[in-house]
Amino acid sequence: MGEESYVVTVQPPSRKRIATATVVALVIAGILLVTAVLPAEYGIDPLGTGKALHLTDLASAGAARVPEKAAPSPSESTEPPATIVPVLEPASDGSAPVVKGTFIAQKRGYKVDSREIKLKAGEGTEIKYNMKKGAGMVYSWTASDKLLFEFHGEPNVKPVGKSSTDYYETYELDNQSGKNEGHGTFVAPSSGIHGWFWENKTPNEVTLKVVSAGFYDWIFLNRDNKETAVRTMDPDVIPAHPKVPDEALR
Amino acid sequence: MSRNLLLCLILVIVLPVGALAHNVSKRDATFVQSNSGSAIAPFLYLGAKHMVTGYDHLLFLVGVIFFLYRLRDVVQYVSLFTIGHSLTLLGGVLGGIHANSYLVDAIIGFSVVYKAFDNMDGFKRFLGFQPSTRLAVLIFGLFHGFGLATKLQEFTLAKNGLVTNIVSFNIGVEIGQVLALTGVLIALSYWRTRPGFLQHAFLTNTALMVGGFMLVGYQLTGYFVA
Repeated sequence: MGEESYVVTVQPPSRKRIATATVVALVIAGILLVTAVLPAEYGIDPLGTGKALHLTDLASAGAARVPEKAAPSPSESTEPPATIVPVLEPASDGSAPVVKGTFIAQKRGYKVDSREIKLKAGEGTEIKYNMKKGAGMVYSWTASDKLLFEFHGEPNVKPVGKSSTDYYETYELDNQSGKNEGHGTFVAPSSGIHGWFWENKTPNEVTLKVVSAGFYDWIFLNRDNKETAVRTMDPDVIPAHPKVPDEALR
Repeated sequence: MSRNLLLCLILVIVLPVGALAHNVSKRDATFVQSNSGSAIAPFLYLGAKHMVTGYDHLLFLVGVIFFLYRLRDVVQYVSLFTIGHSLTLLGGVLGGIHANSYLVDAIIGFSVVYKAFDNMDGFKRFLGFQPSTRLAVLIFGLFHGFGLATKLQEFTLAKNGLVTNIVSFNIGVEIGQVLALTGVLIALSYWRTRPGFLQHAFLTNTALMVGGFMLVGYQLTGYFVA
C-alpha cells in the first residue's frame, strides 16, 4: 500500500502548485500575524481584532501592566522627566563620595504609601512603584522574620534585543539568608516600575511593613500571581502640624 | 487519514501558542543570574527545557527529517545541525558575541520556510538544481546556535564555572533534541505507514511554511517595535 502511493507522488509538484502553496502560506501567516500574534504580543492592532478578542490585554499585561482606572492623567504623562543632576562623584581615595548636586527638583506628584502584608510560609509578594527616570523615593521596610528579596526594576523601554515581557534589572538581591529590614533612598535609573519581590521561606507567617514616600503615580501589586495596579495614598492623609504637638528635645 | 492531516495542521498552528515558554522563564532567569560556580544538572535541565519548548527549533527539525526514511540519514543530518549550533552557542557565549535576538530568531523562522520550500521540491523546480541540503542544515544550525547563545546571554552569567555551565547547557540542548526528535520520529514513522502520508506531505509542508512565515513576521516586528 505504501509502495503504491510512493509511486504516485514521485512526480514532483508543478511550479504553479509550489508557487500557489508559498503564496497561500504567506497570506495565512500574514492574517494570523495581523489578527492575533501582533495584537497579543506587541499591542499592534491594525484591524481591531485584538481588541475584539481581548488579545491586546495580553500585550498590556506584559508591558505597562496598568489598568485604565489607575492610568496617569494626561497632564501628568506629558510632563518631561526630571533631568538627573550628577549627585555623587566617587572620591579618588575611596572615602565618602563627593557631593556634586544636592537635589532633583520635581514639579509635583509627591505621594506616600504604607502597607502591611502577612506572608504565609512559602508565600511571595511584589510591590513596585511607577516612577519616571530621575524620580526619587525614600523607603523603609521591616519584617517580623527574615525574608528573601530582590529589589529590582522593569524599565518601560527595554534595551535593544531584550525580551519585552520578562526583562528586569536587579538593584539588590538576597536569595540566600534573607533580611528582615531594608531602608534607603532610591533614584529611578529608568522610567518604569521599581520595587521589591519578597518571599517567606520560613515555616511561619511573617508580617511585612513597607513605608515609602516619593514621586510615583501608581503602585503595582503582585499577590498569588494576581497583578493589580492601585492608587497611592495622598500625602494629605498625614496629620500636619499643628495636629501633632511639638515635643521639645532640648 | 484526513484526521491525521487535521492533527498535523492543529499542531502547527497551536504549537506556537502552547509553547510560549520559549524564552528562559523569569524564575529560571533569577536562578541563572544568582548562580555562581558550576551547576551541571540545572544547566543541563535548562538546555533540554529550552529545546523541548522551543518551537522554532522543533519546526525546523520536523522539516529536516520529514523525508528522511533511513535512520542513518536522520543521524547524519541531525549531527550536522548539532555541530552547527554547538559551534555558535559555545563560540557566541565565550566570545561574548551579542547578536540581535530578533534578527537571529527571524533567520531561524526563515530556515523553517526554506526547509518547507525545499521539501516541496521548490528549488529543483524553480532553480533547476538542488542546493546542498546538508550545507543548508549546517549553516542554519549555526544561526540556531546564535539564537541559543543570545538567549543565554540575556543574563549576566557568573565567570565562575562559566565553561562548565555553558557546556552543560549545550549537552542539555542535545538531550532535549533527542527527546523531541524521538517523539517526532515516532509520529512521522507511524504516519508514513498510512496511505495518506505522501498525499498530504505537500499540504503539511505548506503548514510548516505558515509557521515559518509567522515566526519571521513576529520577530521582525519585534525588531522594529521593541
